[in-house]
This record gives sequence, C-alpha cells and structure tokens, in this order.
Amino acid sequence: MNARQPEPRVPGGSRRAPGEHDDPAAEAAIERAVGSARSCGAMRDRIAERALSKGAGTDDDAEFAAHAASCAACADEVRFAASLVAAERSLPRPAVPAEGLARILEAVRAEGAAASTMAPSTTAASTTGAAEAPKPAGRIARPRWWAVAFPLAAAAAVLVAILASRPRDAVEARLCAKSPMRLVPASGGGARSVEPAAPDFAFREGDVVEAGAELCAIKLAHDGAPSEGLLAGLGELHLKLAPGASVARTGPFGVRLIRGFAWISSPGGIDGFTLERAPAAGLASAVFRIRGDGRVEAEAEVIGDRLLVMNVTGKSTLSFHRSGDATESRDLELSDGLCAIAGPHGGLAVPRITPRTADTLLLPEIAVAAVEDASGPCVEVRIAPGAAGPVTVPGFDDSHQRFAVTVTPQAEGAARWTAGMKVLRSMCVADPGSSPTVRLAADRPWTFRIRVPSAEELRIAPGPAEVTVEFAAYAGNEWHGDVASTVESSSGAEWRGTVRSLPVVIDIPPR
Amino acid sequence: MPAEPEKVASARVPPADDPSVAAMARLGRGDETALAELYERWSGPLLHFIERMCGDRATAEDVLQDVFLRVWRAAPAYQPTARFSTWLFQIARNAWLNELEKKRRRPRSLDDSPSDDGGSGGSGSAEIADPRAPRPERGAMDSELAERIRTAVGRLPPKLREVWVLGAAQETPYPEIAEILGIPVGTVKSRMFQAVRLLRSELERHVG
Repeated sequence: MNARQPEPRVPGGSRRAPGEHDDPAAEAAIERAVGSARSCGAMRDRIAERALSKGAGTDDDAEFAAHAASCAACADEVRFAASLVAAERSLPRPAVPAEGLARILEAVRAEGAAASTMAPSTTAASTTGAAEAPKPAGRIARPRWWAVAFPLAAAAAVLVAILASRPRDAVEARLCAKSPMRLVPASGGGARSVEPAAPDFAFREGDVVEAGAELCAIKLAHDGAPSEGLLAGLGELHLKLAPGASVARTGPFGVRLIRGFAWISSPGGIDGFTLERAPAAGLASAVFRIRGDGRVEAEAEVIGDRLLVMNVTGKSTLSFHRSGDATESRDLELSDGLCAIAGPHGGLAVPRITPRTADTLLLPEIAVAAVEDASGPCVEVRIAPGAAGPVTVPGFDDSHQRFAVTVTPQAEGAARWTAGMKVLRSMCVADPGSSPTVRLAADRPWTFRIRVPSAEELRIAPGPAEVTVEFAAYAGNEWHGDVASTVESSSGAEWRGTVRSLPVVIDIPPR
Repeated sequence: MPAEPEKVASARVPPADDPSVAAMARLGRGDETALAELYERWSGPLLHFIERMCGDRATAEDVLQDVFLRVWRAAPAYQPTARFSTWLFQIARNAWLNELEKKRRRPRSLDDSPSDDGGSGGSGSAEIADPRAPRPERGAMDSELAERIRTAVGRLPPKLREVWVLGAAQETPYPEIAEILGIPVGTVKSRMFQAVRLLRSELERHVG
C-alpha cells in the first residue's frame, strides 16, 4: 500500500500546516517542530537497533542517544521496544522432537537407496534459489558442439518415442501419492478408493478422479510409452491435483479440470494432450493444449467460470470458442513463463508476474470523479471489470475496510503531505451495498459516492488537493503506512490485490 | 555508516574452525554421524525459527525434516563461502516459503474461513498459532502474555515477521539477517522498526 500516514506528531505540540500563521515567532516554532519531526523520521530505524543493542558503540548509536535525550517520544519508543524484545526472548523455546533425527535418517537412507545408481543430487535449496549449492568441482567439460548436437539428438529421440507410443488408446494410470484418492467410474458401480498399496487403476473416458484432503498425484502413460531405457518417461504425464481438485478423462489423451488446481509435468512426448474447463450453457469453451514433444511444466486452475493456465516450460495453446450470436474463436499461444485466462466471454495472456497471476488478469478498473453533493465535495467511485471481463470482488464491509482515500495538497513545500483515511460506511453518500461480494460486468459497474474528508479531519491545509481512492481485496486490521496488511477476507471473490485510481483534484474544505 | 562494510564482511567470511563446516565435509563423504551432529547443534534454533514463521508445530517439524534432507543432498558439493548458519537459515527460509506457497495454492471453498490462506505475502491467520497444536511447556513467563506475543508476531506480514524472529528472537546480527533474506542492512533496520510499530499497536497494554 502506498498510502502514507501523516508525519509523526511533534512531541509536545500538535502539527499545524504552514501558512496558518503570519506571526514570525509562530513560523519559527513551526520550523523547529517540523525539523524535530524530520529528525525523528531519520532516527526511526535506529529505535529497534538500540533496543536490540545492535548499534552499541557506533557513531550512529551516539547520535541516536543524543537525539533520544531530547525527544521523549523516541525515548519512549526505545523503552517499549526493549521491553518487547526482552519479552520475546523470554518466550519458551520449542522442544526438538525426540524421534526427529531418526525420521530424517530414515528419509536420507531411503533417498540414498533410491539414488544409489544415480549421481548424488547437488540441489540444496528450493526454487527461490538463495541457497543453491554450487556445482560439483568434477563436472565434465563439454565441447561447444554439444550444445547443438544434444538438443538435436534429444529431439530425434523424442520423435522416436512419439512414433513408438502410438496408438494412444489404452492408457495406464497409476496413483503416485502416499494418500488415497477417489475414483468415480463413468460406467457406474459407485465410487471407490484407490490406495497407494494398489496404485494401478483404469482411468477410462468419463471417469472422474478426486483428490481428498491431501495432494493427489497420478501418472498417465500411453500404452506404447517406453518404460525403461533411454526413452523411459517420455510419453508419460504427471498430473498433481491440489486437495479438493478433481479431473475427468475426456478421451485418449485429455482431461477436464472440474474444479481446483492441477500441476502438469512431463519429460516430453505428450504433444496434443488437452486439459479443458467443464462446459456450461452460455460459456465459451476453454481448452489448454500441449504443443510439441519437449519438456512440459504447467499449472491450471479453475476460478469461478474461468480457466487459468500458467505455461512454466514448453509450448502450449489456450483456446476459447464461443458460438451463438457472437461466434468467436481465439488461440492464445503460450511459451515459457506466459499465463493466460479464458473466461466466459474471452481470454487474454500476460507474462507471469506474481505467484497468483489470476489477480493480474482479473484486475478491475477503478476511476474517481469529483462531484458536489448537498453534504459538500464528494468523489464518485466507479469500479468496472478489467480486460478479463466480469469478475467478482469483495463488497463493502466496515469491519474490513477495503477502500482508502488519499489526499495530497497541491501546495508546494512542507504542506504537500499526503494524508490518508480508510473509508467507512458513514463516509458514503450513496449506499455502497452490503453484499459480501459484488459481481462486476461491463454494463453493471459498482458505483458509490464518498464524502471527501475535511482538512481538519486529514490534518492538512485546506485547498486544492489530488484525491485518489485505493481498493484492496484484502482486509487487514489496519493500514500501516507502506506496509500492506493482507489478511484475506474476500470469501467468494475471484480477485485479490489492490488497485488505485488516477487522481482527481478537489478543493478540500476546512471543516 | 562506516561500520556496515565491516559487519557485512564478518558475516560473509565463515570461521575457519566452524565445527559445522567440518561436519558438512564429513557428511559429504557419507558420514551419518555428521548429520546427527548437525541436528544436535542446529535443530533447536531451526525449529524455533520455522515454528515462529509458520505458527504450526506439526508443519514446522515437517519443514525441519525437509531442511535436513536438503542439507544432506547439498553436502557433496558444499563450499563454505558464507557462514554456515547463514546458509542453513537460507535453506530453512526457502523451505518455509515453499510450504507457504503450497498453502496458497490450495484451493479454498466459499465456506472456508479467512484463516485458510496466508494471502499474497500477507499475514494470514493460518500461520498464526494453531490452538490445537501442542505447545511447549510454559516457562517463567505469563502464559497469556506469551500467547499474545505469539499471536501478534504471527499477524505480522511475513517480510516483517522473518526480520523480527531472526533479530529479536534468534538474536541474529543485522548483516547476517540481510544475507539470509537477500536484502540490504538498511531494509532490515526499516523492517524491524515497522515490526516494532505494529507489535506496539497490539501489545502496548500488555508489555512494558
């Protein structure tokens, strides 16, 4: 959140905006007060440092000590921080589980046994990579032609694998997770549980696989996919389902994501594999298709009536087709790092930006306009769907203030402080509604009016100011300066994130 | 700030006689007792860090196991280019972030409470202390105050929480925190201040 809080209060006196006094003595007092407040601002990072005794003996520490000697507010901050640190350090430490080491050694031995025929892994850390272990010293130096020849050889091998893997009618399926999953056969006979002890199962067209409370992983392979040798693994598809997710088989080499989140990965050889969203009346179809026989990693999620896909590695296409009065077909071609969403009315693709790119794709638009009401100056807030079409956003709720108005006076100099306020229902001139969620559509934007706070409420000088409104699909207890408090409470909303309007200039009334 | 370069340098250079570095070398040669030695030395601080970050004892134990598995996998190629503790806590942090990411990826039904998700970089209450989780024995501290502190720290946004837990709870020096988190020392200071401010708003009536 970029909403800045007003400057800290000057110890021993209230802050006043410059220009309110013509008296030189008062001006000087204001200058001193502002200077002191700035000093506090400059010192603030050292408060915790001093409480933690991390800066002891440094010039910075001496400078801070001098400041704190004359600033009761900063001295108080240090006292509190020191008490807090002492309390934190006196918290009881968790006891290490007695069987912890045994569990780790067991896991290490199991992994060691599995990898006994392979070179030891050198990967230390996760995908975030900060602690990746360095490459082993004994790595074999490869000639330059290797960079060209190896991919060509690999491509040829993949081609052979593809040819060997046809036809694709019979498919072996295997549960790869440690927890059971539910299989609902299309042929009837009731659902049954597939257990890790007997992981192989027939996954026929129309059958549905449901993950339980745990992650579910299944492996699909063509009948002709090689099971051993150099080409082992090609033509195999690993499909992981997040808890609660389910898929149905749609054909020899395709599934339908009924709900939830799924990961797709394959070493290659799965050209033509499809994952589609469940069809529904009035919705455009949405089909995700793997292209080529290279390595594939992708993620797919059903969000409301949308299909979101993230093409991590490999090439794919997200297609949507709408029939009827406004027939439209479109293919979004995706390469490494591209995401796309297909909704009921269309689709679009963007580079992967955040872990949950759906938020970027579903971002609504917010605009404000200055209007004059009987109660004084107001801003009319208009929230409309963005490029991805209709989207559900969280509604207005006083217990989770999702709107904030920020006001930046146009005056130059020290008076140009940005003040911010969370918007409560009592500030709304037109009722924003009380529904937990609001469905935005192009012809049905969400509009309401907010009374502009007075200069006295905002503790700024009256006069023309730039006013912006920010909407956050989170609800924190408070907004703390530039720290976004992001406790989510947007139950049922599709979009999470923040969006800010362009500014509009409004004359801020004194009271 | 003239003191900072020295602090950073001291955080980067591993002590030549660090027994953990020697244990890593032995572990790289397949010596299981070295893993036991590392576990003995580091499992306590790591479990404390991870539990405070994820707020759930059972998850913390799983993440701890994951950390030591990663250490074992990395041992053959381990090069002591930084303090061992810095490297180890980077792994722990990455393992926790992976766990957080997994939680975020889990789909939520309309009936789910807000606590089922950590939010995007947020302070989801899923990471706040799990009331059903077994708690360590109470020490000298008033148990209600201890719970208040745990809850308030659990509500901090993760970026602030990790700085607070490393600095205030683990007593890690700022330059080492900066290395673990991959951020400048100034940012560590700023986040620590923000953490104190947020904690004050929740705990002022109970602490001090």
